[in-house]
Amino acid sequence: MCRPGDAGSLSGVITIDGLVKRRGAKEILSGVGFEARPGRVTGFLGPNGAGKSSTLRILLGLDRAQAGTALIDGVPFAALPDPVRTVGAVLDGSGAHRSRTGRAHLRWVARAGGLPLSRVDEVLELVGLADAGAKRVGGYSLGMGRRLALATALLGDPSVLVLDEPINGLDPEGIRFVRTFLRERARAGRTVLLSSHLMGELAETVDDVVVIDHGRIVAQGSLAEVTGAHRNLEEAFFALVSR
Amino acid sequence: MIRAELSKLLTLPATWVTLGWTLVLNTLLTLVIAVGDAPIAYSQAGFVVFGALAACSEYTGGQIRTTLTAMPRRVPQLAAKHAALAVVTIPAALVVVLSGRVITMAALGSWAVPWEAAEATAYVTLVTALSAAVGVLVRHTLAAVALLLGYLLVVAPLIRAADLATLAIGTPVVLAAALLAHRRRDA
Repeated sequence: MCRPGDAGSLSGVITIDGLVKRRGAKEILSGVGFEARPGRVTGFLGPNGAGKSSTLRILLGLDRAQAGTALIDGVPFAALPDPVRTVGAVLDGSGAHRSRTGRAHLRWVARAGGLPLSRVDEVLELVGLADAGAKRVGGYSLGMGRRLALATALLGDPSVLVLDEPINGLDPEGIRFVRTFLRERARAGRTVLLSSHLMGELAETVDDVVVIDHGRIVAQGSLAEVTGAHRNLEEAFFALVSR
Repeated sequence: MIRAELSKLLTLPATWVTLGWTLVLNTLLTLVIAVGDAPIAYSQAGFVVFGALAACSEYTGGQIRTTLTAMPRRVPQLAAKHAALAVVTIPAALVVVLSGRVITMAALGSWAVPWEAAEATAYVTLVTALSAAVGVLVRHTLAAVALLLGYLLVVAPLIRAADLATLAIGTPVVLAAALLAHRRRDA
């Protein structure tokens, strides 16, 4: 799994290669492959239904691919020795049962990851939910639910963050918070992979860009490489995905 | 993992509501029928709801994704959930069964055999485990409860299979199917 002397294999590299996913007769992913590296924010962009969520769900071991591999530090998610400290995931919604309090939700996740329960109040503070910890998740606003999901992902202070449409449903202040926060994570040497269909919101946040359309990667590289001769990322994106 | 699953179960208000109402229902039935474990035939419904809720509550608010990213090895995770369920169910079942017996004793002045109380507790615990396994398979609380009540209250008595032995054989089989489905399918 980890070759001795190969420090890079321990730092949170995401390597996705040749993913094929079919649902019924429909092929959702047709050989998706790309890499996300530590110290960089990688934007995984594509229109709705392009296969972003499916790719991330396979990466996180939630769905199975018919072919291909999705590895973190060279191993599939389910084989990670310490998943909560390695990867934090933010998927749609809060990821919490509505009748539990935010704090109770974080406490069971902390127990599952063998983390000290003191982390719970730390992450609540970090995402600005310190006052809402004793409130039931059902009473949270959409934005608060998203913040709770982020708090859950940060419990183990993981080297990799995977976020599916993290700014969906956030108010401008929330969007600013997430952007700044993700930049800081990357600056601290962590890997950040986020998907989005909102191009304009992302250009200032990402270092690398992977564009997916109809289950195929149509472009990947640094922000400058993918933007190319186009005026901005948004224009490049529409040129890439239009047919 | 068992502590995490136990923590989930105990912080779910539905756990306390369901078990509380089951005790109330059983007490009322005992007062009306007043014959030892007979009310269990009906108040087992409370444990059916409890088991199904324990499994299906994962599918509310997308909690299953949090569960499987925190505990990605699915067979140990579901086994831990069932172990935690047993830790809560056994004392709860014992309280419900014994409460019925104490009332019967007070009313009729006769002590029932402890062995029968143990048998009733085992029966109710197995019913809860079976309900959780069916809950994992159908992933919908109401559908799971309907299926189970249909079986336990109608089909099983008809085919004369409403006994501890049938349940002791059937529950592990359904549980194995649930583990297999849980391991293989997309979350």
